[in-house]
Amino acid sequence: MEKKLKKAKSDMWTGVLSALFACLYFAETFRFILDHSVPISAAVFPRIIAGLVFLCAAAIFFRGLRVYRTIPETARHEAKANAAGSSRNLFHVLEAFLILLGVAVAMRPLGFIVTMTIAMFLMFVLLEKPQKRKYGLYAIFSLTLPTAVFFLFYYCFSYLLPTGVLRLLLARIL
Amino acid sequence: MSAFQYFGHALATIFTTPQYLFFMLLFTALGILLGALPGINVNLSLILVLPLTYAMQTESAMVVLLSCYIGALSGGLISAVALNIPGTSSSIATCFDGHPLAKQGKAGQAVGVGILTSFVGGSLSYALLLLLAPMMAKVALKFGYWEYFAVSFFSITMIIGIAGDDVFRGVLGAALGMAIAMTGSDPVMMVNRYNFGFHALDGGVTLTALMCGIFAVPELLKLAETRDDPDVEVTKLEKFRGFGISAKDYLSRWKNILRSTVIGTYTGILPGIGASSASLLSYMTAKNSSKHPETFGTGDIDGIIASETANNACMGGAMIPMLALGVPGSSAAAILMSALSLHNVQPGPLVFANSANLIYFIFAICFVVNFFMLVLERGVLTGYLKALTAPPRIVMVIVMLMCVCGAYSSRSSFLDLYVFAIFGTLGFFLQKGGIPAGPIILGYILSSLCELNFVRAYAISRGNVMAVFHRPIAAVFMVVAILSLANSVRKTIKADKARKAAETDLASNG
Amino acid sequence: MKRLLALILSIVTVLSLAACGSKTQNNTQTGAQTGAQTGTQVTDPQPTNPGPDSTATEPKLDYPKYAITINGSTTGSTVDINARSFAKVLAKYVPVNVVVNSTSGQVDSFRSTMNAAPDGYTLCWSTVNVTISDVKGKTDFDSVNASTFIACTVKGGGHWLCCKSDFAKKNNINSFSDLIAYTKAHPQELVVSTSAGMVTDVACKQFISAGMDAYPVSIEDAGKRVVALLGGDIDLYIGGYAAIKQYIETGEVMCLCYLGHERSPFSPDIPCTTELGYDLNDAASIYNLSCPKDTPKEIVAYLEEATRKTVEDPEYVEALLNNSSVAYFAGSEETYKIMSEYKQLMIDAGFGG
Repeated sequence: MEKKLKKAKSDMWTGVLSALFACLYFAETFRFILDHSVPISAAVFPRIIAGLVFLCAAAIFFRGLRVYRTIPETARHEAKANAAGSSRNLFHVLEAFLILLGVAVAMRPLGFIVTMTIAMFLMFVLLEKPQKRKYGLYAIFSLTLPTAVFFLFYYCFSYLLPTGVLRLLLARIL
Repeated sequence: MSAFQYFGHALATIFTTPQYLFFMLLFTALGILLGALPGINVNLSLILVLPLTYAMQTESAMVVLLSCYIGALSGGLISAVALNIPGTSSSIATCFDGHPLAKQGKAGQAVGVGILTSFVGGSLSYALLLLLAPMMAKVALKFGYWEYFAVSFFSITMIIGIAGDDVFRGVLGAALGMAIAMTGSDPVMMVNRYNFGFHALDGGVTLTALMCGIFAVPELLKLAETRDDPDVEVTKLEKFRGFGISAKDYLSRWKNILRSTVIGTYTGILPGIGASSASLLSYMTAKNSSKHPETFGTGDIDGIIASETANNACMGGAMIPMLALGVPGSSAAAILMSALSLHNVQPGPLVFANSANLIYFIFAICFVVNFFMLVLERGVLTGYLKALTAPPRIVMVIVMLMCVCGAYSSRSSFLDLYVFAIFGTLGFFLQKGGIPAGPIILGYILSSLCELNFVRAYAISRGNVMAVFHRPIAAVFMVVAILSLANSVRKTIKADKARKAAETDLASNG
Repeated sequence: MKRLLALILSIVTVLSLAACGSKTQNNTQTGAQTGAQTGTQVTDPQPTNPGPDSTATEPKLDYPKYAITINGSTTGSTVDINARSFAKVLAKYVPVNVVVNSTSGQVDSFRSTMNAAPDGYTLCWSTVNVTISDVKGKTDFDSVNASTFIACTVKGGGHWLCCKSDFAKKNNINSFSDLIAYTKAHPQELVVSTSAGMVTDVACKQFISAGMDAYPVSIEDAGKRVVALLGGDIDLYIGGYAAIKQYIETGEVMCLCYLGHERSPFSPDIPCTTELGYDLNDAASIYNLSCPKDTPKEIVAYLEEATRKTVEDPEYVEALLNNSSVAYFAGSEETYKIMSEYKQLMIDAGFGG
């Protein structure tokens, strides 16, 4: 019953969010600066896709709603109580996302080696339970792997990954 | 000299020149390694290796590039099976059955079969290339824009078939992939769409960054989510011999193998369709032709055979328009063609007359490298799989490193790192919501093909949409696509009614 | 853990094997030695840019110290191929590697370069297509003033107008004038290829202004235009000579004219539009190399000199000829003047968005 309820809720949320996305996606097509001399404008396909997303969203939402209505009240309250612990798990997900976003933001100013060293170390620490962490090993991997990849890309493929703050130092080495 | 004489001469040259054999060994190994790394796909592998060939003679340059290409194309299957992250877009369909087998501890067998069937598909395709290249090029000319639209529309309807139990979610995933593909300049008139004033988005969202994000980031985030949960025992890797399948068992699937080779080769001949479409079409055809289609997606070897045979056969097919027409059949073929141009070789209808030695040398390289791929990939397989099945909390962080490299390197854009992070996280939540990654990526790939070809075809036909049914090849694909779509919808409604009826019965008996 | 270390060591070993020592960490290699190695090579320091041990009296330019990156275009495109041909030869005249980055297009390359550090290590290879996009209002920068031009390297290429031989025979079309007459009798019946937002579009509009009443359809790649012509999707091809040359030689395709004031050296038998009596602007493609706006003048001068040597190098000239393009050198200031005039020409011709 709990699984059924979870699926029903998931269906409804998916439906609502997807429908909202479809509406916004469709609305944005009116802001395109179109070339009206062509027989078929650049807005046609996006509108078709918005329609398709909306239809699927509606189908999923109503399916979920139908199932939700068949589940008794008591079962719904029970499931709500059991869901309390999940917020902590999503916090770790948020932390991981912030690390990935941090990589995107820091890559230009800090460069590949510094950014990935920090990101890898933080990610190693985040993904392991506190009592099982091996900081020394993580430090070794975090320091050596990005550096090795940087130099391998440069010397093997002549491809220079972003240098960032290490630009002057690397200019002397490379 | 006849074709066979040229070919024989080319083989003799290869086997009597140690430098060529050394380059084949080295660069096939490099290609396999790069292809197996999530984030570094076939195109990027070729782009990275291309500068190494500048100072080489044309023949050596071709050896290096083709070795890397064939290695990378096949290497993508290793991470597709072991990590559920396709190394290349053409290995997406391999994930569907490869990863479930890996979860059962049979990663070795799955990859072993993939390697063997890649070799077979590639060899058959190169044989066709050798015998029929100039003739097969004429096939590419019979396909106009309506035909391309019909094929890409047909491929989109095939996505429904891989949607799994929940067709609506599968279609939603494909539609979301198509929506993402609309970002940037439209392919015909360069109208900016969904860039929200950020001109950095004019180039759209690249496939590499999106694929790395949608496949790799959810795995990473899942580990973060389950960090505090009790450790789950990892299924041990089962031992396997040879290629994980007996010769008899493999040959008993000859229909699937031949059909997938034909689909792969034929799709490769059509410029712009690509190996990802080839492997998807082949997978779906194998599923629909199977006596037990319900086993596809749960670890059916036929699924791996269909996907991997087709994507390697596609490589041989893509060489045909490249060499005979001067039009690359895929983006990797475009890189090979630019290498040929840099060495002053102009592919086209006269290339067989003017540069026959080189052309048959290229065919010979394909055959020999294919064999190197078979041996090398099998050789490193056990060690590689053992490494990839090391603690996932370490492996995935290293995968993250390679994905960041791949996402950035594809067009040296910092924007792609944002795509990786944001779309990856979005992919995580979509998967939690039951929307799989495969349809999203396939929708992305097929959508721009579909739009580009439809808009051109529509313009050429002066707005007469029904013109698609006046062209026999296009009409066949459209009719099959529409029937397939209608059938899928009918099955979904039927299944839904059956489920409702079962629930009603349960409630009344309950 | 052991397996992981083994994997890492294997990766390092294999990739180290692939590092063929092609990078020039010092300036002592000669041209003969570079031929035996893989990768782009650079040889002796040039007299105008003495190395650290030189006894020259000019102030030492501490550049270049590491690889120079050129932002090209989409992989496999004509612009990308030209960029790689250029980089391959430029590497002979600078003491470091020259690497070409693929991007999603010329406008993207230009923008990335504009935003890069003005240290001479990030350059942009682009054509007049960026200027056309600017004039059409599709860019957020001024293509002429947003960066510093180093040099112009290719001028020409040009556009040829072709049709299938059997079509020409069937309709008695033997020249551009015959085609114009046919299109006047059958307005908008024929489909002609163009390429929206590119210099090919300029060429197409020129032909249409001469009286050719055909229906333009945008197909971005010359190779795809050839296939569309051969497959019957389009009736008239407008594009470069390299893509269609072999089909003209086999007789499958007939070339009607070349858009220009004089005949192209690549097709001396094909009449140009001026000699046929049509006063049209040639839609020549101009390739140029540029760098970020505030790049020091000394670095620009150094690169300008290296580019001049590259453009004069027989290897580069031959590579361009094989792509039906002509090497042409213009220095920094002259290139600025050429591009400014081109932009004004586009605005005056009504290409503004």
